[in-house]
Amino acid sequence: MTGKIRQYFSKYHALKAWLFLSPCLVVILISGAWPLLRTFYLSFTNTAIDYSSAGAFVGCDNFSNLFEDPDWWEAVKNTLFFAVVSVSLEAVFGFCVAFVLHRNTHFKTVLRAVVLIPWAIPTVVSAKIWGWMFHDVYGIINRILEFVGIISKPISWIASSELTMVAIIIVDVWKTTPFMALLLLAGLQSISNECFEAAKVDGVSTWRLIWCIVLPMLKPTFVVALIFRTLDALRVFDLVYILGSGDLSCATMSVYARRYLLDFGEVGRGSSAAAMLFFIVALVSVLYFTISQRNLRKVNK
Amino acid sequence: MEKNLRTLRTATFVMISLFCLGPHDAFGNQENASEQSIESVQKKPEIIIKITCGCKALQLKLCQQAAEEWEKITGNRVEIITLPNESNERLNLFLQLFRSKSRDVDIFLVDVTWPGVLANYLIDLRKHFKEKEISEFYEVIINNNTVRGRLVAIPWYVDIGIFYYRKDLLKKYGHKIPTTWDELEVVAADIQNKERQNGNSRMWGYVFQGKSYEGLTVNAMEWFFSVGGSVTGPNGESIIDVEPNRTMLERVHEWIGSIVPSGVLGYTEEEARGVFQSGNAVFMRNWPYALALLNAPDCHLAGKVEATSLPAGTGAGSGHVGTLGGWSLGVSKFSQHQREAVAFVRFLTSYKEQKRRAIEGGISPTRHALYKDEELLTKQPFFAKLSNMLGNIVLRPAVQFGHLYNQASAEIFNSVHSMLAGNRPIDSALKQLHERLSLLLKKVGKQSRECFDGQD
Repeated sequence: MTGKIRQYFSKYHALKAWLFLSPCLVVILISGAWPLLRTFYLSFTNTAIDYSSAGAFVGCDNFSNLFEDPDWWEAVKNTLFFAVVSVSLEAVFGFCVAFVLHRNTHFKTVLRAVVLIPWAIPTVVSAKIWGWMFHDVYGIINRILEFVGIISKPISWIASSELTMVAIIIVDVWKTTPFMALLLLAGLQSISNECFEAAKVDGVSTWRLIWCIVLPMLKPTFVVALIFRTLDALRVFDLVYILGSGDLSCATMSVYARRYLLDFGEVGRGSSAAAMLFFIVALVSVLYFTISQRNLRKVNK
Repeated sequence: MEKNLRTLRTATFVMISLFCLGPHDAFGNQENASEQSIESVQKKPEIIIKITCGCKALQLKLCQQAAEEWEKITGNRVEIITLPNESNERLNLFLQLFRSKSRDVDIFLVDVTWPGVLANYLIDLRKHFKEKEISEFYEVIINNNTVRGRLVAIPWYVDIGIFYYRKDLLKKYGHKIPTTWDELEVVAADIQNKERQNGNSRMWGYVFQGKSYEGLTVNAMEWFFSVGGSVTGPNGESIIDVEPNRTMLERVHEWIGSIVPSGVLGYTEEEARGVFQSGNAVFMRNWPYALALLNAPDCHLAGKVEATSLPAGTGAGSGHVGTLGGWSLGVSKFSQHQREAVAFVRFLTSYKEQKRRAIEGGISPTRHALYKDEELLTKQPFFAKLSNMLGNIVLRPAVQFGHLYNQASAEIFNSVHSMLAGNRPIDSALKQLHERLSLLLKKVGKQSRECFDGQD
């Protein structure tokens, strides 16, 4: 009898849960699944903005053209380079900032707000501002470097593809370090104070404290933060689009996809690039999750 | 607590009822509202024409003035929609609007390279303009705007690449205006070095548009044609990989860092003007719009800047050329007020309005008669020179590449940019560019046969 009632109630609860979830699921289906499926579908057609017989099924033509295009592989290379360099720099700087904020108890609230400013400015706006700061003739960055004596004549930051990449990474690190710092700060605060006090009593140096206590305990937070940032970095668009001056030699995958989708109006080809971008991002996230799962299992053992 | 809740509930109720009733009724404007409805029954509802007409301050002002004038005459209303500064972004925006069959814009500002791309979305203006009216415009631009027999846009103003020079600096160091690229190199280097010795350490010889965008294709066209090179042959095949083009590109590559700032590879028109206007360059390639701004009374260069044709090469087939730019006005196929929109286009491109724009803004007209207008020539003597230059224009290969022009142009500017930046050797990059353009030409031939035959 009781079993039947329990069954009835659990069924009822499950139904209720689905009922409450359904509006959210519908929204996700409309805003997430539908565009995604449509992109996959379009990537197998020759749909184009200004080409009337468009929309015919062309099999894997788009993908084979994509793989034959050296510009695409350049874009993949650029994206991976950007993601690896910027995320590692952000992790290091973010940790430093978080650690300092954690120890400094006097101005914590104020500092936390101040640190967030770069993150709060819309990327397009900060990219434009940085673009002017990097300008070779009036840019303030060249002025400062010249004044300090690091360079003797102005560098044209956003003219050559290598320096543009450097500039893009600088701006991204400036912008996202606060995000990383806040995530890690939350992790630091969850470490019980006793650990720090015990270390203090034992007279452990700060380096050893970081290396042997803080970092291992912060690992789960770190993994989550890195996943977030890597996925974000792989999709990077606005910074590259504005600072990269439309130059293909420093374009990322999303800039490449946009080029075909909008500039050239070849929706089919652009969709195939977008689909590939999706698969690469998915692959990386699966990789991350397996690694972190394995780590967690190790910790649990 | 309970009181708070009640207040909240009342507030919500009031807000919802306000929302449902609409602004008129909710604020007690009952009388006004009823008056309006009577008026709208008696009078024809006013028509709102939405137009895109440039974004630079001067353009916008002139357009607003014209709109007000037209509003007074016809009683219709004009709404000006501002546009992004960069032409590629404008085109993207337009294509998105057209793709969604948007009725939000009636009149579109069409670049000289877009007729092929936008033809399917614009109405045929030959049905609204008489043959005689059309013949009053420059034929080159009318031909450019005619796609498969349909005139998709009426020329509004013309642009041509011109060569700006600092009169005062040429006089100070005893130089003549350079007419060949060789002379340009000598004069630019000399003035640049002497000015630097005299304390202006940021002085450069020459600036142009070198960012990887449409403007670089424009500049490259001028380089190629000024030395007897070309991009497409008489039968519509790619002939970009020829000796004159190669030597010219090598020459420009050598300029960068010596007489041209290396930042030029990130400059558009406005960045180049910024450098020139702050007194940091002797020569500049730009469109005519900069002349009025440089000679404005509040600019410290006023009276020191003049413009002429761009320098030329010295080999066979060389000449002083400028790339044709400029904008036309087209009416959207999806517009709900096509008749009124055409009327406004006619008003904006009329003799009187183009003359006003030329006098007040120095904007170059598209009607040949205006270049012989006494009053205009006394007020803007530069137009006498410009009418000569309009005889030596270079067209970007928009007709040859048709709806694939954007891809062709992107191939050109990306490739030229990497050559100038020294990322790729010019020889092999030019060969690859030739192959890619040939491929596009083959594709455009096939697709236009497939899709556009028998349309209209």
